[in-house]
Amino acid sequence: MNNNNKISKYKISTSYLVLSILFIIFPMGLKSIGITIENYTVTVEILLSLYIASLHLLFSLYLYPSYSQSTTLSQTPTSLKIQRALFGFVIGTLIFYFISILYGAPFFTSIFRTLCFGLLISSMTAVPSAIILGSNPQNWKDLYFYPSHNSIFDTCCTIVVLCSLFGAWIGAFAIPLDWDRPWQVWPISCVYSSLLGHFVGLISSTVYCLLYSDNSTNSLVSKHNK
Amino acid sequence: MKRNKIYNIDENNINSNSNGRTVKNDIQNQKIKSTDILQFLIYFFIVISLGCYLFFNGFLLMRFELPQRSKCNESPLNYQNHQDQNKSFIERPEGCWIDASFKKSVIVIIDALRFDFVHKQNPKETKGYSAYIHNHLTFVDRLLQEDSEHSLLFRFIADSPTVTMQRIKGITTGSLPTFIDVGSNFGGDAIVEDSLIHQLSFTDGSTEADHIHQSVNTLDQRLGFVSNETMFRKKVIFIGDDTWVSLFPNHFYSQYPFPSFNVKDIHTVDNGVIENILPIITKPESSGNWDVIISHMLGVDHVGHTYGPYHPEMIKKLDQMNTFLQNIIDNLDNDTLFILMGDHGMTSDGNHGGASNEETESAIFLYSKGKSINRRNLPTIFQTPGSPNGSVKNVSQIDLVSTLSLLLGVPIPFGNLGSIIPELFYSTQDTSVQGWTRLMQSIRINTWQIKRYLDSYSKVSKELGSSSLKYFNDLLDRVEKDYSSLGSLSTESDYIRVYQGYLKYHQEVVELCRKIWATFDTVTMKFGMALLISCALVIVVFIVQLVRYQKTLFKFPLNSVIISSILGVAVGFLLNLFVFPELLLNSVIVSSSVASLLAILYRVVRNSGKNNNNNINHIEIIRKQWGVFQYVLSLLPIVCMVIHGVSFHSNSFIESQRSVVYYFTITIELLLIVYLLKLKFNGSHFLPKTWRSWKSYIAIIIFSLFQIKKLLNTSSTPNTTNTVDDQPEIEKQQQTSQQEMFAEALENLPFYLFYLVLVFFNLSLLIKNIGFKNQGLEFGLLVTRLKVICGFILTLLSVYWLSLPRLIHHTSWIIKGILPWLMYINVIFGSVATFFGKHRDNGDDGNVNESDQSSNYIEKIKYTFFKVSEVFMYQYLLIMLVSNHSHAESVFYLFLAIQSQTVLFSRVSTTGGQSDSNYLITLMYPILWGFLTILNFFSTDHDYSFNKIQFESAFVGFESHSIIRGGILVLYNTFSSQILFSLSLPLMLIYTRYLNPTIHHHTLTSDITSSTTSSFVKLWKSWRLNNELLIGYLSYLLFFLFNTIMVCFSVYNLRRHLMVWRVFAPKYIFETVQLLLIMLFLILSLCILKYFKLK
Repeated sequence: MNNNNKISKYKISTSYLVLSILFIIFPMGLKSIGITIENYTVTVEILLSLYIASLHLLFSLYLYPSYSQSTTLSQTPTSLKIQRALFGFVIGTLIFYFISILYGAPFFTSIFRTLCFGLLISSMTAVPSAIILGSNPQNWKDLYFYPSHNSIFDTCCTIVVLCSLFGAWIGAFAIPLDWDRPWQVWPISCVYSSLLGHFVGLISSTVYCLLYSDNSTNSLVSKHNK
Repeated sequence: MKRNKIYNIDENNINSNSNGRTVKNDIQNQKIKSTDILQFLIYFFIVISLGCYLFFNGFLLMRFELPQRSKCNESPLNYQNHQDQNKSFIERPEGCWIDASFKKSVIVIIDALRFDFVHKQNPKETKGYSAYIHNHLTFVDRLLQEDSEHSLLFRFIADSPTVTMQRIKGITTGSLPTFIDVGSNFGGDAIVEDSLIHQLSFTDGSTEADHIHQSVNTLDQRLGFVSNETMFRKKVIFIGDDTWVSLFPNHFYSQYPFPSFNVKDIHTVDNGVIENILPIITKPESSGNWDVIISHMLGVDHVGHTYGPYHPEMIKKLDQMNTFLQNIIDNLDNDTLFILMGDHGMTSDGNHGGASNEETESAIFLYSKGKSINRRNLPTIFQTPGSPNGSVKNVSQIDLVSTLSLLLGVPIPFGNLGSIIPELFYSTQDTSVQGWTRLMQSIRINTWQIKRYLDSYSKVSKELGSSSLKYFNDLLDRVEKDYSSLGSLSTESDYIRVYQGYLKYHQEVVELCRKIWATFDTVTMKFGMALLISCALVIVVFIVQLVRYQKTLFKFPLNSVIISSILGVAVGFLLNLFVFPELLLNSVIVSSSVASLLAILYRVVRNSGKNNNNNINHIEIIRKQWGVFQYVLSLLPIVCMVIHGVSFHSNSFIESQRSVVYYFTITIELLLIVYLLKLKFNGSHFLPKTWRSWKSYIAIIIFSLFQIKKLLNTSSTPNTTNTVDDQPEIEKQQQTSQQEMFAEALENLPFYLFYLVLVFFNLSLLIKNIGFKNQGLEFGLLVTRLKVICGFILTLLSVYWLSLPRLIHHTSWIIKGILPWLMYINVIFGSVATFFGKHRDNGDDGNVNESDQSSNYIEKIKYTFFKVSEVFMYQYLLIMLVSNHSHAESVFYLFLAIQSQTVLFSRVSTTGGQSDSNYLITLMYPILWGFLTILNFFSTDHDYSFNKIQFESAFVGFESHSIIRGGILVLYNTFSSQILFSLSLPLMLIYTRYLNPTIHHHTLTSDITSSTTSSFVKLWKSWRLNNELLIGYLSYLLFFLFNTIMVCFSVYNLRRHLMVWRVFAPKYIFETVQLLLIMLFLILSLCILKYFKLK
């Protein structure tokens, strides 16, 4: 319960804004130099996922107080954060790959594209959650299954994850339409919409932080660290 | 206190069905009166059917197709005394009923050729003049100016629906096509009715079969292998849109079809026509002689669909058409009649299908080098009075058929309603008297042909009404009298009078038929939709009330419903008098049902308002307990349902509905699994850790893998559209491939039989899983009987499938039918036997302790469950029999899906169902159940289209064709998934709520404390009260009702859409049938449930 208290909500809010801007600049930049998702699907997917994962990692290094059973009081050491991010990245990729197959993604034809899509979604959802939550399933359950969140970061993380997933989910709706556009091919529309969802999630986290009232006693400090 | 209140309701009411002793012992339980689901459901069934009926009436216009064909030697003039007609037996070379005027004809149809594309437009005067579309077909105007005696231009008015296929039907049969032409076979598109093409191609009595050898290969004919030419009355050559070939298979002397499927392909058809037509016209010897050439070009239409009319492509296209047509005209000889026409127009955004002027006004241009067809100083009577441009007359599209038939000297098609275009008959003669005589002859034949059709049609259908028929007969009699008084001395005014008489007859007949066949009744459609929507709203309110006040008794207000509906009928009559004067039936139906719905609504709202203390503040609970996930879990199914409904507005989503439904199903399924994992982590759940807790996961994974496999299968088979010209060859290929598929299926038979064995194991496992305890011998006998009968049927089924290849060629129907018959008898015997058989009395001794009593409750519930599942099982076996053996796998997985979902649901509600906040989650079961229903409908290789119906199932065990029996069997086959899922809905609900493993666990271990006993009492009360079942039933019904409403909406809004007849209308019909069938089987399952519950 020390320096974490000093993080003001404006600072968090601003950082989310910066994060979202940084996030959206990269695909736009890629597009402006001619590398679009339609043309180089796999490459762009990998580039984007790596970029987003590292962005979240940097963000966490800069801002997150972290709690886990291994470190009782102070912040999680950097190395642990990196470990967790990597762990989340890999496991998340596999899980999301499996889920996309379950959802009916082509199984034989575009394995690599689907795998990279898993990578991208994992970088947007599993990485930020894993940095916060670590590998303890109890933490994950607490975050997603219970109404009371411990800190502002938890809520923001939930918002971002849900928005990205919802975006990816919505994106598939464009595929069966008969418009014959290049972006209707799996997984391009899903990539676009999940990016959009992620962006919306980051922006709404920014807004949420501003509206967040820290009346409750230990709003910014996680209960676990007490 | 709560309890007292409920008991007070029916203090005096002792259940008459149970015997006295039980009442004494279980007095506390028997007195709990139940909400009568059956009455509510039957009521909703009636209202929904009325709504569907109204909408159906407004949207689908039915017409019967008559099989008769006109014959050359049976002139309609003498049809009423046709015994003396057999004399003139020979076909006269100069024409059938009347002498021909033209020997040959070239007909060019340009799709979507709007009138103003053809007619010269003055840039300054025309409203909406555009250089893109106007004044490009200059040759028409030039001919009209330079060669005015030999050319004619009319405004060509099409009927709605302005869709190419329906228009082709109109142009060739001369009738007003509707969506369902009863009598046509659903499998193919071929026109069954008599048509111009048929009359042109076939001599009396010959059929398509005679032609098959003729038109096998156009190449053969080009090389000169033409045989047996006498079979053709005229040699018709077709070039262009391949729709014609599917409409008229084997009709053409030779054909050059080109694919019409891709709207974005602007040039293929046109270039094909342009390349092929001139060589045929100019060098007749290269392709045999020809009499009639029909060519259909799609370019203009496709440009309209793809780019819209105001686009440079349109200029190019129209200019290309102009040069092409000019070329044709230059090469015509003197005996040939040239006809250019459009089948319909287009709107300003390039679409068509509706009934606006832009869409219906097309153009027809006739030109003949040799004969005069448009003499100067025509009688003014030929001009339509008050036609907009004065100079250009309106001609109905169906008029072309009779005109062309008589001009070319072939019989008018039997079902023609069009009347001849007078100019063409009058002008071809030299003097005006001759002209009049010829015109009189022609129009008289035309009239009598229409009369003959009307008489035949009124024998099949009562739509025309005897009074109007009599009116028409009188009209005709009068005109005939005038006609017979005509002589050589008659003046022109006499002729005109007779002509007008005939014309009046034609116009009134067409007007009547058009009223019956060719107009959407939007008001009725709106009424129907309003009824459906209000019914859905009432159901929603009902569900909400049920969820809020779970412990309240909802009695069906029979009296107030009857009174209010009678009042509604009265109001309906009043409405009919003052507001909707012509809609008696509609207003009565709508007002009475709305009134009764209001009565129900009032009762539902007030009833629950009385018992306010039962209210549980769910919102508070939700706020306190729910995490993000729970919100998602309870809201997402509803979101899915809404999106799924909305997706019916797009034809692509309907076409790929299978993937859409799968997508939603897997979404909810995954959520459920995650939720289950959450419950596992919770630690609060006390399941016995056996392998059964994993069974549901495994079953779901197998199930989804199966679905994926099916999805992959369907996506890998490409949509083969008939792109190649040689139709018969394709058919042959299809036949062989079908045979191959059949052989392949037979090879895999052992594999399919394996599924039967699996079914049996699954079945006995299920019976075991229900877990009867302390059952007497009698009950054991029940189980054994079920097992024996099912095993017997399955064995028979496997023998039947194994012997199928040998049976096919067997002639005796007894040997063919004996096995299916045995199975039918067994199914019937089993189902009947279920209903007899006494249930033993429980609790004979007066002093039952609490724990025994509670296990008694469970036993009773189990008994009901077992009985209902027994009935379900027999239905399942029946469906297994009716399904093709190649679908054994799918039907097995259907069973597995029902089972695994039930287990999964019960798992979820076991562990999470402790608090009442779970109610929103239980609401999602029916939604998922609905999605699964549709998914399994697809996985048994059905689709929402008529050509996917598996008609062979009508002949399982029967040789002869019977509409009712065959219809029932086909319905069972087609909607197998819907039937099974709605029959098993009560099973799922009961198992999930009352028989889930928690309770099972308790009864097994006899670990019953007082608190669990009270929870049993609670359970028993809710079981007696029925409310929870009602929620499930209503939500399941709501799912399908919502879908139907959305389909109705989309059909209503997209009446003018390009795809409405191909995609939306079949979908709508299937959806309606599905809804009605589901309701029917829900009611059936309820009857069974009620029967055993009271026992």
